[in-house]
Amino acid sequence: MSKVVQRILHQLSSHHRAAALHLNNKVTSYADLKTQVDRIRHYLEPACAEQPLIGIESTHHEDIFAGILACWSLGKGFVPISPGNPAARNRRIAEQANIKTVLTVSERSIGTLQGSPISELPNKVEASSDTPIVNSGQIAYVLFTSGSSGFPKGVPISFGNLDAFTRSFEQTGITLSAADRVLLISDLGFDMSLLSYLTAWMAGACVYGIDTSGPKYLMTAHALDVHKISVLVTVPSLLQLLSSHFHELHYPHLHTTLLCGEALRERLALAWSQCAPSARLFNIYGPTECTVFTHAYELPTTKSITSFQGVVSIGKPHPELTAKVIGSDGRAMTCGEVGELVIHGPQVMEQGYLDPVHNEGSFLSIRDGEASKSYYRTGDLVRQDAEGNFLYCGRADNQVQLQGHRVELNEIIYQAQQIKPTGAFHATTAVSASGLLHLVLFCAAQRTEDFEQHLRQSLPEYMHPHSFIYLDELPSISNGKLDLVELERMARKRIETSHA
Amino acid sequence: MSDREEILQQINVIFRKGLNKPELEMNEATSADHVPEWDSLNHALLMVRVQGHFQVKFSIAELVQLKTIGDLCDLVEAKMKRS
Repeated sequence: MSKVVQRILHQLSSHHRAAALHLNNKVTSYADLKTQVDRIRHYLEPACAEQPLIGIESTHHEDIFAGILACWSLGKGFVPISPGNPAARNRRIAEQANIKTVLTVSERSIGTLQGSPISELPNKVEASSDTPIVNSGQIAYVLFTSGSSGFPKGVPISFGNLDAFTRSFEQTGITLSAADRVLLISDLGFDMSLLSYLTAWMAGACVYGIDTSGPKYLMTAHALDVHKISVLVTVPSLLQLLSSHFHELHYPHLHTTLLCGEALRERLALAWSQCAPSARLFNIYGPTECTVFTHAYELPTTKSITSFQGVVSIGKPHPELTAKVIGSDGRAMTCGEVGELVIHGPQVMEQGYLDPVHNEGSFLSIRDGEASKSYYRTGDLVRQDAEGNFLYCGRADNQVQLQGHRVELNEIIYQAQQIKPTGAFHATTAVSASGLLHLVLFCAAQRTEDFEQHLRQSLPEYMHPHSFIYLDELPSISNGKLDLVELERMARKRIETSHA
Repeated sequence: MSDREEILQQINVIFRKGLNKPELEMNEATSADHVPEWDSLNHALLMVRVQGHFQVKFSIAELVQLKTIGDLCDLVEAKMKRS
């Protein structure tokens, strides 16, 4: 069995009285969680014997976390499926991952998918005591990210990848204990969530959720205070939303802040440090394909922060990984030169994407001595400084990070064209005066009342455009290509006008 | 028009401009559930604009309690009386 799974299952028994979860004002002890894991396992073992992947309703609920652990204890992988996703997207995810069973909280269905409510599973708890033989190559989870072809991409992460990640995590110097209270903010479909619950349970700590009745950034600030949270894992944009309130925030009990998913601005990091004066602050980086995170940089308190154009360094890769900076001609860049970051090592997904069609262009073979090694191409432009720290410089393609979520702008354009096949569309982003990234969709199509509504229904919430700009035609330059400079200027103007 | 109605009307104007929805018509019972564009990102920006317009300041504790436009009117009204 995977070492990380073994360790968490051991914690379920050894910390049995301690709280494992604090969600929706309900506390679940490690013992309660274990009972629920055994109950679900009892159901899955015979009923889903031939199913290597199990769908899981992406909801912060104790039954769902028990479902994840039950899958892992049997060597099965889980696939988070969000009830808020468009039904067609969920159907496609289920088809790609060949999912036959979806464990849910209480709903019998998610969109058109039939669910198996965990509360209605048989109550027998005597699960088999046999420990299944789990190959490190078996899939532990599949997360679906935005795809440039218009369809979500399934990223399978193996138990071996997960074990490698936990070894790396322990070497970053981030320390958690059983006394910790770790805040869980993100959706289970985003690997930042694993950073909260996986690392908390490895230490025997408790995972706290946030109240979902209000905006996430406000509820996070509230939870940090009320629950005296000691470890925060979040995206920089959430802190940016809170920044006008920093003067009233004070979290003396917070000892670690992990920021990931987006470029971290030095100014924001310094301002946040005033709110949590005792906390160590880490900027962490890693594509989903490389298991949660591959690089970490602890912001120093006694010397200047390493940064490039105001963006904090992502630090160095974990010792088991090899990271290189490659030019567009495939040549390795020297110190200070900008190129694409490529990563090789045990955290990189082993078999490629669930649908092999997405593998094209995603890997690069680099000769290393006698052998050739396969490197994952991140699409992120970086440079390395003399100390070996990596510095983020932008993207090499049409992908953006919106509040931590990876968004392929082409996926939004594709969906818009599905609704209005005769229209022309262009998606871009613009930064508002408050430093937040807004998604703007240009539409050279007749404005109809239901277009925006249909588009929202066909995309997950984090991909919804914040502004629509309707034009007779998209501006172009003399060679017929889109006038990207003009489009960006118009997007900036719209965002400035809306929020002036 | 009462002070309360005036506040509601001005909040409507701020939201219409901020969300780029000229046709938006909100009443006291309207919440984020009724307005698809009223997401977390826009919420933060709208609250900045409401505070700037009415020359008031909201704390995190006060913002956490807001569920509807009526709650927002209550808060603005209370703050304006105090100032």
